[in-house]
Amino acid sequence: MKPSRTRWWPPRAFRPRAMSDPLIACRGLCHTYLRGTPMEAVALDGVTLEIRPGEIVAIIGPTGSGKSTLIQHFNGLLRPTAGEIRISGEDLWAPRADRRRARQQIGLVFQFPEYQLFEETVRKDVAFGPKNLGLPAETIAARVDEALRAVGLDPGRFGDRSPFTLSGGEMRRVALAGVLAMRPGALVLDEPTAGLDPRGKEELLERIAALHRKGMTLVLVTHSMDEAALLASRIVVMHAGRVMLDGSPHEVFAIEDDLRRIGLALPQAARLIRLLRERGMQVADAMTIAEARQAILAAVREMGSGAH
Amino acid sequence: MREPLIEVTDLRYVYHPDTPQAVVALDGLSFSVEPGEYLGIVGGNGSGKSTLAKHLNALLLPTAGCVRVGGLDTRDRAATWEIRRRVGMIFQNPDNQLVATVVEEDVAFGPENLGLPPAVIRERVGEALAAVGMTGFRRRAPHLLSGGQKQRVAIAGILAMRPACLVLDEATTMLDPAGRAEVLETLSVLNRRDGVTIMLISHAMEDLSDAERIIAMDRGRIVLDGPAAAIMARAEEIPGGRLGAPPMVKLARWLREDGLRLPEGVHKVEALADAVVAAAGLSPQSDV
Repeated sequence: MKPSRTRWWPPRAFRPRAMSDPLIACRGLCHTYLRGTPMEAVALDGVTLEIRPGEIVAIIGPTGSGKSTLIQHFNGLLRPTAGEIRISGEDLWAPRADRRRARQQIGLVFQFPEYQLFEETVRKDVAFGPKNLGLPAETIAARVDEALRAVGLDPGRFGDRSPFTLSGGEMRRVALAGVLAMRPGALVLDEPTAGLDPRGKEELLERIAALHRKGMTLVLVTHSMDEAALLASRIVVMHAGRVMLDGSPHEVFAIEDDLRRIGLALPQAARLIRLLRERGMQVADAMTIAEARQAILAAVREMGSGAH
Repeated sequence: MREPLIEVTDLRYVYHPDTPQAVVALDGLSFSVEPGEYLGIVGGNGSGKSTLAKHLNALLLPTAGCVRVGGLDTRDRAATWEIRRRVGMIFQNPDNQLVATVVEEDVAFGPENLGLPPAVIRERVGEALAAVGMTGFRRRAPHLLSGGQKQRVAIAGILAMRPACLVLDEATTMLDPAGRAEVLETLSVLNRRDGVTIMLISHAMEDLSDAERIIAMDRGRIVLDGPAAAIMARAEEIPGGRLGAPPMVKLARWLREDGLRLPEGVHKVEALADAVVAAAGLSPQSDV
């Protein structure tokens, strides 16, 4: 049987009850590690944020700004010390909340997820999650193939290999397939490209963009402004446990001084544009090098037509 | 005549030799590093960069060929400690490299193991922390520092043993942009001011923008070896196709295709901005 190609994300069971419901909503979310001890550390200090179905959001911020703590609340791995977190409208920490269901709905991909691979073959590793759901063998096999294809690994070629013989980028994609095989409604990725070489990065980012085109909701934690600019339609900047800014890439990168103050850099293309303006060139905004190419060409033509 | 600091001759390394799992990681490498060089080594995942790094201070020994550090052969067991003192390694994850609960104790760990007198150790720790700009943090707990600060403490710990050469294997990969910039700036200063030889291994061409020379690796071999700017400009031709050009090199090439007259070898944002302005005829000193 051929699986349906049309819109398999988000799976019907996990679609929000009303499309107006945000998929993920935090209100006044606070988290303090080791509360009541001398080592007490406030990681989140009142975060209010909504992620809607189909969005692709980048969360950026310097080390220690609370990004990783925040996303661990998205599927109930951490319990807020104050505030609330709702998944598809359901309060995760309400007395009878179904946190198990929320965990299936929000697929969390940790940093360096390939360290968590452990099975003898790629197929077995990806099947681990669905197997624990108690699904029939056929369904599991279909899901595994589907998930491997979604990350660009041919199940026939890679399925029976040991994950430990693969390249770093391939291993990471196997780990991602393991999460996709659970058919989450949203994927939350913590530094998905860290440690990959440029080709591995490009391949993974292409896969992430393709998942988004199929309707997957995506949250991406990243240090890389260039990646945020390339992929995300919305950027959330975290600083000292709070949301410092929440807007489009253009809005966020417009406040360069604030970003620099907290140790973040503009995407290289945006920096180039700023330097060109400082040197007297009138040139439009650009977030990616493709945009910069257009902006520079337009500016040069404009100057040429003015000169003659 | 000065002899090279590091001399690698026909180096070959096979993991699990004589088994069905045998993997040739290094397949006949030869190069040498002069004292005071800032050398970048670039290659994709699996190109053999890290295997090479581990040969430079005798963590791995050649299957065939030879590695010499200041004339000492790494296969000579009696020379191992002297080689490790001369060639200090910094790895990717700063958390795996810090051993003590106070910064200055961590930096003192190396010199203590060299059996130096306490007064000398104190002096060296002070010098090493100053060299990486971490003097103000000497009594802090390492685990409370940022990633970039931790990596600088790890570098100080190596410097306190007065090595001739620092080998950094993907040492900026886990850092945020500020931490990465901190570490790169520190390396650049150590190289220019103190003459420390730097070998920076990375798959990100952008990390190597301070290097004078770059060696590109693919499948256990050296595929390019030359001045940094020339290698950057040719990044897309590196066999294996795992690297790609740094963004500014790519943009410069596109703009050249579009008819802008830009010089070759531009890879920094500032340099490209200057070149574009010059090509557009905005700057009076632009005509060469």
